Amino acid sequence: VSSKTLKQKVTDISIYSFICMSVIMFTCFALYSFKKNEITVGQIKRDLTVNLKNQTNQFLPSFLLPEQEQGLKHILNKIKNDENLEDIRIVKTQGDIPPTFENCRPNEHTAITCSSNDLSLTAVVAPLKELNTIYGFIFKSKKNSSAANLQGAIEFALVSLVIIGIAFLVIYLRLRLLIAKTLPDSMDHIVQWIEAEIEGKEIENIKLPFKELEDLKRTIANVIERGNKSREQAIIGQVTSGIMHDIKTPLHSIVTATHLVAEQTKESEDRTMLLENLFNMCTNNIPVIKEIIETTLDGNRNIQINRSNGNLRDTIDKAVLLTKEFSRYRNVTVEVDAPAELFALYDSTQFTRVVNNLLKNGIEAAAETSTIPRVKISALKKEKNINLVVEDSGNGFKGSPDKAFRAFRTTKVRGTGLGLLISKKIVEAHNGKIKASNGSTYGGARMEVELPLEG
Amino acid sequence: MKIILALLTILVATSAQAKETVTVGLASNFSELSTVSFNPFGGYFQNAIEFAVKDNKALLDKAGISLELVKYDYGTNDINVIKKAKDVSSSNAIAVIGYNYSAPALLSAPIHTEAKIPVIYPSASANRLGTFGKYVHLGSISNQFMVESLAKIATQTLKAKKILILAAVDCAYCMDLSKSFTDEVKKYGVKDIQNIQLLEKESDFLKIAEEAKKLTFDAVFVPNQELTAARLIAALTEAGITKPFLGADGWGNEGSEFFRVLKGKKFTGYSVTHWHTKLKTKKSQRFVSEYKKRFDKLPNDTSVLAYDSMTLLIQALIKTKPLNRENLEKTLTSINSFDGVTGKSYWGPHQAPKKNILILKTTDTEFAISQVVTPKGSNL
Repeated sequence: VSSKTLKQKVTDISIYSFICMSVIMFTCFALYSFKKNEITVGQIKRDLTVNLKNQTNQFLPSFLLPEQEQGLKHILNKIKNDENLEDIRIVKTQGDIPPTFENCRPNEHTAITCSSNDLSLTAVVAPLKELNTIYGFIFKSKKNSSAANLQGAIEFALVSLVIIGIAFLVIYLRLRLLIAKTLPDSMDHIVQWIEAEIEGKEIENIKLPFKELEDLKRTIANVIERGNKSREQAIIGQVTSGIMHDIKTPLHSIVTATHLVAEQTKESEDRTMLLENLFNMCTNNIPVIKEIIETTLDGNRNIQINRSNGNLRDTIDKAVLLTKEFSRYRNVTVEVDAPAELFALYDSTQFTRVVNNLLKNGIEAAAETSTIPRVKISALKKEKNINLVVEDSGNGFKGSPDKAFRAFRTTKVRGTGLGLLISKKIVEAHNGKIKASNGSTYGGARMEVELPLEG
Repeated sequence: MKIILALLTILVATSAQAKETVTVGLASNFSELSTVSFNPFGGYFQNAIEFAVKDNKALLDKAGISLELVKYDYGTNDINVIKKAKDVSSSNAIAVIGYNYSAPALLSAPIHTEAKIPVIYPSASANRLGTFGKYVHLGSISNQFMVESLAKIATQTLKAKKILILAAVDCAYCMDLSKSFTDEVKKYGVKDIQNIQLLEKESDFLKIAEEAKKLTFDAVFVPNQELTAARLIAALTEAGITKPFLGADGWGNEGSEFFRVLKGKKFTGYSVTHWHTKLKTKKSQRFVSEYKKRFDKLPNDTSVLAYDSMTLLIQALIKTKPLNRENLEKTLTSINSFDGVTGKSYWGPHQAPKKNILILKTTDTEFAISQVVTPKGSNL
């Protein structure tokens, strides 16, 4: 397990990189200096030879005419000054060439260039020749350019080192900021987002600095979603057991009442009373059992719908009627704002369950939290669909409203938490959409359903 | 009738007589501007040669000679002289004329001597030219004769005790004059002679002037060619040197180039020359007039010396029978006097001629004839 922090890692990598870059730079510089030296020597060779022909012509009269003998020294001096030479002289044999130029061997036919033993000077030796007569050789030497000397190389290397050092410092600070601050901050944001996602809390959408982190966030979201589904499946199992337990109680009452009746003879006086008791037991408990079973089954299976042309306003009114006692008991005012005719192709029985469920949820939310509890159901026919909205004066959604459609996400004291999930399934079976949000009319929850006109 | 027919026959026979074509090589710098002259020197030389041929055409025709002039142009590079001298030596030329400066003349002389081709140097004046002997013929007075006059001016006219010499060391003419002048003034008791040596292609004459300013002298001898001499004098006068200057025939006599460089700078100068456009002789007056008419410019000493030398060569060609190099050499050697535009001259075999020279004194804008000097022991 590494004990180093990201900052230390960044520092280490930067130092290693700097050392590597310095080594590479010095290698490149050495190669460059070598090449530069070659170029410089080449230029000096050209400088030394470019005027040779004219100079030879200038010298020769000094050999041919005694009157001009003295001119040779002056011409040599002038050329030495003009060309900034280290040395210029007339030589007769190789022995007259300075000993520092051991490899300079005069050639009677052509000019040759050579270097001094320590390579600091370049020289040219050219024959002074008129037709077939050789009068000697001109020897010229010149210092190689200081561009390739050691001092120049060191200065260049130091300047380069400073420039690279500054560049590395900037890179190091930037990397440190990125890796030691930006990355951990982003990870913190992701962790917060995961926590909120798990807890169903609402959190501002976080902006991550890298695509990789965005991908990571997406992957985590998928993992959470899969986890939720697994959890839901497990809970369904648990809830089913609970439901079975719930069914067992009314069923036990019916069975007990049946046994009591069975124990009586036909002539028994209590038999009529016990039969009435059994009838009451059945009348009260069988709908309860039926509702528990239906609801549970709908939460786990696909909804089957039978479309027919109907008036959604009638469905709304029916749902309002069905919940009339429910709302009255809780002192919740239910308002309806919808035209008389809202015809569409839909399953009125299933859709009654949807509107009923939305109304009940709204009534319960308004009743629990609001001083003036009320629910408003409105509907409006549009070009291709009917827009149905149920708004309440409750507290609205605390976390992400979409999570309300998940199974067993109820905040109510009673209920399975399957109502909205089933409503969503019914709406989607009609190719419609259902959306949860916080409304602006009463400040509570707002449920919006889009029902396509043509199904 | 018979007489008429006979005369016609003679006339036709005479006309049909084939002329002998004789080739003469003209060696000079015909093309490039010299470093010591703004003028393409070969132009004056060539004009004068053609002038001389035209003037003597009647004599040549009468002698049945058709002259073919072949140019050998060596440009400003003295080493080319050697190749051109060898070329003309190996050609069918019967003689060669030219090499207007001392250095080309000195370089070519041994080649022509060895090739046994007569050569006439119209204007080269180096003393050593008189030592080559056979086949070498000189049209100009020697440097020695010039410095004899200049030494007298320096010591007697200018009373100079200390003399500064500014000679170009890469100029055979200049160094020959410098040595001869030094020897000559010593004969007059001048012991303090200082030298500043320079190159003809020197770019910084002001540096030389600064060097000269540090010295003490009574006169400055500038034995260089026209352009170099003018630049030196200009630099020295600009540096505040007011001592008189002396020069030889290199200063020229026509003067336009010399005074253009000096740009009106005032100085005292003496020089020698072979001839001057204002010389009041009939031959000279006619030459100047005709030359100007033909070439739309005034002749200079190169022109007049080339004219006289070519005339002398034509006279020798006419006299030589049969025409070949050896016979022409004999004829040339036999001629010991000549009366030309530059005046009367005479000479020993292969020696520089003896003739009058002119002492010129500079004014602000021209060379003026100051004195005519006749060689010692001559009948001129």
